[in-house]
Amino acid sequence: MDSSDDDVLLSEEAYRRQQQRAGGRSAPAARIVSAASATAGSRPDYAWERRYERTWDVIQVDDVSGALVRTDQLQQQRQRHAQLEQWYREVWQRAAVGGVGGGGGHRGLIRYLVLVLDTSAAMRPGGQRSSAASRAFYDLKPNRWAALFSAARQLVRDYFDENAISQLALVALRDGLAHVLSDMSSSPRPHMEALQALEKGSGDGGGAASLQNGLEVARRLHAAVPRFGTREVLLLYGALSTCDPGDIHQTVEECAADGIRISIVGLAAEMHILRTACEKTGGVYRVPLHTEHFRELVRRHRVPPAGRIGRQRPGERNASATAKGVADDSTQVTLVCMGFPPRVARDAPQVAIDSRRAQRVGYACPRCRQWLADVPGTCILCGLTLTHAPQLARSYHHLFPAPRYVECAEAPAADGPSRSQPATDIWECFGCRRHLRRNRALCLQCTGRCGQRYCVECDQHVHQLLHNCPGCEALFASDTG
Amino acid sequence: MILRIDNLRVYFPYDYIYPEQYAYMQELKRALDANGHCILEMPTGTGKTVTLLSFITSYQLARRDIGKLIYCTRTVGEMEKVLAELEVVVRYRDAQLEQQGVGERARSLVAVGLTTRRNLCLHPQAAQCETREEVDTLCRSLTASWVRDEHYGGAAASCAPVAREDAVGPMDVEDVPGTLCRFYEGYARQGNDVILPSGIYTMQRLLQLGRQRGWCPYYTARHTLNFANVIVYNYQYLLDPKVAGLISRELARECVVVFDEAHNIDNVCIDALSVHLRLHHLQRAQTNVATLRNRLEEMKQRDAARLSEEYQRLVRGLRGVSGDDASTLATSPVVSEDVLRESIPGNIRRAEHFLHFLLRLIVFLRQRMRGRQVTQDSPQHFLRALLPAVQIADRKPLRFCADRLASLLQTLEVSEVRDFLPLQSIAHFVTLLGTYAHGFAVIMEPYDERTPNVTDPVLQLSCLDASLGMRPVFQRFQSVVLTSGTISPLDLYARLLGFRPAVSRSFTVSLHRDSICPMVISRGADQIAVSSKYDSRSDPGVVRNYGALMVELAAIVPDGMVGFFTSYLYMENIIQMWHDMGVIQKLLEHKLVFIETPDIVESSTALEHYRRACDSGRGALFLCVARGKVAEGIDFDRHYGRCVVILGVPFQYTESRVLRARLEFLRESLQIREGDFLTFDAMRQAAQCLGRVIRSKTDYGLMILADRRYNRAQNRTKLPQWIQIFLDDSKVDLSTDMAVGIVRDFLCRMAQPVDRADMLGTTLLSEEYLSGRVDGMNGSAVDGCHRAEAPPVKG
Repeated sequence: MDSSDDDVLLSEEAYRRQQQRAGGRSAPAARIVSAASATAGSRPDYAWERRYERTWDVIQVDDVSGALVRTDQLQQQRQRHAQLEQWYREVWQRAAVGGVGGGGGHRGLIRYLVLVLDTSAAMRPGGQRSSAASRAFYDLKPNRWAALFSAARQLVRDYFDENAISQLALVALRDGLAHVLSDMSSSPRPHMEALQALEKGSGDGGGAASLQNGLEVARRLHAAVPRFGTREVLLLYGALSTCDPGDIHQTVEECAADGIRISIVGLAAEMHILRTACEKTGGVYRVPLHTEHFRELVRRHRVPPAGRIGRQRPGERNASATAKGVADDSTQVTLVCMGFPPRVARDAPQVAIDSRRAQRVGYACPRCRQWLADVPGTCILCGLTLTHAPQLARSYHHLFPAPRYVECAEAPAADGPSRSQPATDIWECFGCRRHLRRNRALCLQCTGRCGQRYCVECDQHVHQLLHNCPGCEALFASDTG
Repeated sequence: MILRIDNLRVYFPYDYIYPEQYAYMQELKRALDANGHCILEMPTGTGKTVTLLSFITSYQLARRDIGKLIYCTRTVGEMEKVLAELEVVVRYRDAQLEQQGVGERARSLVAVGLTTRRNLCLHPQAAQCETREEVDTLCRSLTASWVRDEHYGGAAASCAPVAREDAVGPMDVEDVPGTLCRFYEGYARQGNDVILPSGIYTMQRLLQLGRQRGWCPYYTARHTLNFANVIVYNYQYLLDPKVAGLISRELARECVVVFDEAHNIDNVCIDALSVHLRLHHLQRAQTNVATLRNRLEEMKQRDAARLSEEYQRLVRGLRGVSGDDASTLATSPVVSEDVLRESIPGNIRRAEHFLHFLLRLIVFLRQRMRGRQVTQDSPQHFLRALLPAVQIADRKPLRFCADRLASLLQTLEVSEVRDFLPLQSIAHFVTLLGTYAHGFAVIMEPYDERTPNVTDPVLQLSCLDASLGMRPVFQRFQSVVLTSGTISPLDLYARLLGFRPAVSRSFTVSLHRDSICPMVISRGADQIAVSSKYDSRSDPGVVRNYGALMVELAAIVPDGMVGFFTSYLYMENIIQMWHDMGVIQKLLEHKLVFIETPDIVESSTALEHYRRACDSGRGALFLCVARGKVAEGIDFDRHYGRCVVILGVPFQYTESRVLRARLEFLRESLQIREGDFLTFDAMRQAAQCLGRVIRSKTDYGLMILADRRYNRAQNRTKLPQWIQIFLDDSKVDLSTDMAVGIVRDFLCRMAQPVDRADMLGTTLLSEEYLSGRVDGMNGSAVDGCHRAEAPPVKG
């Protein structure tokens, strides 16, 4: 989503002029459309796999500027907006239900996720004997192995971006076993390293995948998780069967009893047991249609899941009830002790306890004064959760999202609350201050306090990166200041 | 919701209705209004049962002159499902009627499911019996009139049970001695004239009622048939004349008869009227005759009056013979009124004469079976040899044989009916022979085709004309509904069964997504054609390609997968060859492999484990036979069957004498060509197998026909309409690798979540939608339904 239609158009326009100047005769139209349609969310496979497209039908030369414009531009923008809407519908819903000081709202803030990667034969190039299965290896581009790791890396990055004080662990399935790649930690580095190490070992073999072993290991990893966090398992599952040592249904039941939420992205086809596992634990099971869909399905897990998170865990609740006399843990407020160490530069390098390297710039744990290389994380010595204040604040945007932008009605700009434009079809985006034509660019209005108008680009920027509406913030600043 | 179909209020228990269900009701109404028969084909999983039940019970409510609904199913499991569905319908209907203020009386509906004693017996000893016959025998030994008479002092020989109550006086149920069944006694004392409160009487409920009140559930159910509004039972109770004479004799003409899953009804009719005799049957029959003779001597000395009484009865006619106590004995396989009214011919009227006659008959049959060659005779021809041998002049006495035997067993107070089954089947044999001059063939095969050196003679009286069994039903009842998911082509059924349907129609299915994916695979990846044709079936290239196909599919299809072979023999050969080629080994990497065997216990264990493997995600492949038990009665819905593969075209074994005789008959009498019938039969079998994987609209499944011969349009067009519409040209004549691509795409697409909003208006119709669009319905939503012309009826 980083290259907008207009960018493409402009750059292509420049390219065309350049070509003309150079005397070259080329037809950039096809490339324009193919690039644009790739961003528009149609199936982004290789061009030769797509059907024949009448690419010249959707563009025309603008009378005024002489630039090439798409005739279905407005529709495309609407599509992009709709995608964003769907993406954030969950977040908005949650905010509406119990976000601001609501009972369950603060529970999603700290997540504990075990990411289970299937690295069995089904994900490896030489692991299959039948030609159907080896072709299935290439159903994700460039192949399953690469796509799996790139999606996993992306998720690890996004996860820590979006959930600054949450933790993650990695598990790999192969040969019917589940191996812990990296333990629960709130720093992306060990995970990235583990992923890199594993990816290099791509080869034959891999054996069967075992769902039960994967879940059992994930359950063990979750056993030490404090009660205020979510317990989530995300499986990226490529095999079409599972080879289990015991009764898988019982394991799923136990997971459900422990309040673990299992979500799965499974490749190729729907498997009954995976669906059951997700349904019983309140997770999501999806099967990707193609590579981009796969990435998106994985990416969705960077935002905390909707719905009530902290399920009641019978065993633990009884234990806590007997120990503390607390009846219901859902009403109990847990205070989490946290440190916010500033980044300091020392005169001489000192060995940081977590990276085991001498470093001049680092952090000192506010409780035990231990020298650390990386924050956020947990202090290895005293176990204190360490983070930055801005990161903590950033985690809040799931609870207090930016207000929704909805498509503005056909009304002339004059009756809007903003300073009035002449009642033409030109309007100004409050975000980027560009003057846009009504029939060319989608006009979106903030449903928050400000009620300003924004273009699609600003809409994406605000909701995906800023998480704050500039108009509303400006009002807020003028109120307080 | 309450629908209106031409001013008829139909109480439909769900909030939404499928368009095809609505169309189905419309056609059903047309047929019932015309007092005619109909054939309706509607895909599996579109709620046929609930449509039928809700429509007909509503129809009964509106028109009082319509009699009972008789719903015939194939198995006990289906019967229970129907009753459960009926319960939903009736509960909704009653609630609606109550709201309208209709009185209790109008609402009352009694529905009863009848099954064998084996399922409905409460007697403690019955639990130890294994077969149906054992329970029947046990029941007879405890409830036969002479056993009870003995206990009650013979006072009430054949009085009505009510009268007997007065004679004996009230007796506590606990006082019933061990020689009698206390449940039957309880029923006889009270149940016989008690009318059950309205409700649905399932098997469980009958048993519960029986336990509470001490009534025999079986006899209560049979008694309830007389006043029930809805009867659910097995085909046999209506089609098999031996049983139908007992159970369904008193049903009125105004009844509506429904045959569900009727695609094999012609075979059921034929089986009901065919008799197989083997050598050991004859030997045991001979022993039976000897036993009877001893009994007769005994009886003569003890109670000669009883014998002469029987004689007098036989002079009067058969009507008197079959009283209500004879109920355990199967009567004649032929139900015709004139037989019942006539008196039994003199030469078999006396018991001794009759036994002599039977003995001569057995000797003659044994002699026939001593032959070394396969012979096929028409009934007349066979009779010409038989009559002199048994020393009678004409064939008339033969017709009374079965009834005469039943009467004799009754008179001689024989309880162990089971032991006399061989003799009874011989009696049936000659009765049929004496009754029908056409439509039968007597075939003697001295050995099995596969083992020519082992003599195992079989004498078969095989019925060739399915309409013989069906015609009485069509004549007796004014409306008969034949319905199934796979009953194409409709006109052929009408011809085979010899009736003229008022309505015959095939409905397609309305789907919000293409959840059915039929395909024809005709070549392997190496472009060698695959076929189960006789000359190419053992070709290693074909077998290897079939194996490769299965391995490829097993690798990409999740959970359960089913493979159908054309016969057990073929399956065994192929599996053997697959094993040698290492195909089985490769299959096992992806799925566990289970194989159906002729042994039912073994197969059901395999099936159970198959289900477990599917449930737990291991994945499994079930290899079975197209005409086996699995193909007929087991559903592979949802994850239990994501893919069904038919390896080859399931033609019948064309060398079989019986089939050849039938083909000849069809050609001569009904002008149906051999090829046509064979293809029809193979394709309906294939369709039946394919239909196993789809059991509801939310379900999805792959249907793969792996044989070159499916490419032919004349074969494909015999598949049901609802499969054909998905079998477009891009899915025909594929090679394995092309098919694999389609399969992957399909599975991916089907795994996407379904939005219920998509279904509304297209596949789900609400009440408001219907009331607004009733007129437009015929043209739009149910478009594409194929209407078959009623063909002329021959004979």
